[in-house]
Amino acid sequence: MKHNFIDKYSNLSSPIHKINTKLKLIVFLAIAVFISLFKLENKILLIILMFLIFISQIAKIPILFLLLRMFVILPFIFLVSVSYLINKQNFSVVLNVLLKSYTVILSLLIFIQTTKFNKLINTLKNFGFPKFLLLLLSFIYRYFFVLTDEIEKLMFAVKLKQQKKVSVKIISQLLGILLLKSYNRAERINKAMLLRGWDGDL
Amino acid sequence: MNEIIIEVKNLCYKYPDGKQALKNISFEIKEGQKVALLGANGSGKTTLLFCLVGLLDYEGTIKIFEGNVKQNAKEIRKKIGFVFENPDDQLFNLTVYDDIAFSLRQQRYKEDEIRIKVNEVLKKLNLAGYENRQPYHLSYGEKKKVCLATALVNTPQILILDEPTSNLDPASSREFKELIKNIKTTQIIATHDLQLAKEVCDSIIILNNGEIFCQGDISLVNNTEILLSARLM
Repeated sequence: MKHNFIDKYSNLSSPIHKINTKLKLIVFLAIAVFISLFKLENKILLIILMFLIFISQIAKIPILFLLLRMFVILPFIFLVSVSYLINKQNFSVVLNVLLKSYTVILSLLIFIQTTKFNKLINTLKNFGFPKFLLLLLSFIYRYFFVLTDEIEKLMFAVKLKQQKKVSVKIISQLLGILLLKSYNRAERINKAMLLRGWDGDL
Repeated sequence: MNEIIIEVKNLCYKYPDGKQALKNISFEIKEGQKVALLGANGSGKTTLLFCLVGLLDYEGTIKIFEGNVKQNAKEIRKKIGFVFENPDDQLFNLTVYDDIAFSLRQQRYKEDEIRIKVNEVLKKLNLAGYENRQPYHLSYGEKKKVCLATALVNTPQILILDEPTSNLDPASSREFKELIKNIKTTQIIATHDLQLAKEVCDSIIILNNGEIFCQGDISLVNNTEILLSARLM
């Protein structure tokens, strides 16, 4: 199965990729926090957005990829916009929310796409993030693909056995099987960790 | 004569659902011996291996290096390298380097020492250059080799391999066999690959329905009657 990794473009080589991860995290996080907390005019937001698009192109991240990722937040922005319009706010306020959201998302997307996941985890560890949370994150990343493979195999099995549409009953059965499989795998991983002297540290 | 390093007496194990998985298993393994643990699917091979490293709560006695596994499991495990059947169960770190370094980090080795040991084992298994690769991106054969590296980096005195050649293509299987053949340490290899047993091991233990069906010299692998009775042919 072809997987869509969250750090899909982190293996590319560009000046942005080469920047120290700690510095990158601070800069992109600072941009996101600054835009979220402070009142900024649409013109300034547009300039920042353009600047980030320029950065993304230096980092060789395809613009279409970024646009598709940014579309994910559209429904939420739509809801916020409707509530603003109902409260008789003018269109520039709605545009401001839209620009702010897209700028924040874009800055975080650039950071994630130019940083390998293991480096991100190590940097967060250096910044004192809780070990448990980081461990959980790395396991989600590591086993997400294994889980999607399992789902795909189960779906193939269903398709081969059943000609009709997949019913809710079958989906619930599949989820049950997936839960059992995940539980068994978790037990085996735990055994592997114990055998290698696991003491709760990363 | 080499001394006995693994001593198993009257080992019994029941699954949580009450089904008897292992019945009165007794055997001894000497230092440097390479033992093939043969048996059909569901005969109890993996369960026996998990008992040997103290991961399951068994009845009976298992002594490794004269230490009782039940009481000294943590210490004994440091001397054992274990390779799982499915590499996705064993490789849980984000890079090959981190996976191999995992057990050394758990033992609080310094990063410089870790780097030397990891590079050494990578070179030995023809994995140089794989350090920063993500285990998920590797082929099945490469994953298996990384699993072996995670076990060998500790220079174990006993190496346990669970179905080392299962799911491997002929070329990878051959390469893997060559690698384990050249490892001089005591080995227990659970498999139903008779060719692997013949090429690598010097003695066998055959399990059937959780019991020892027969044990002895590797030449027993040529006994068709025994193999048929143990559902290995």
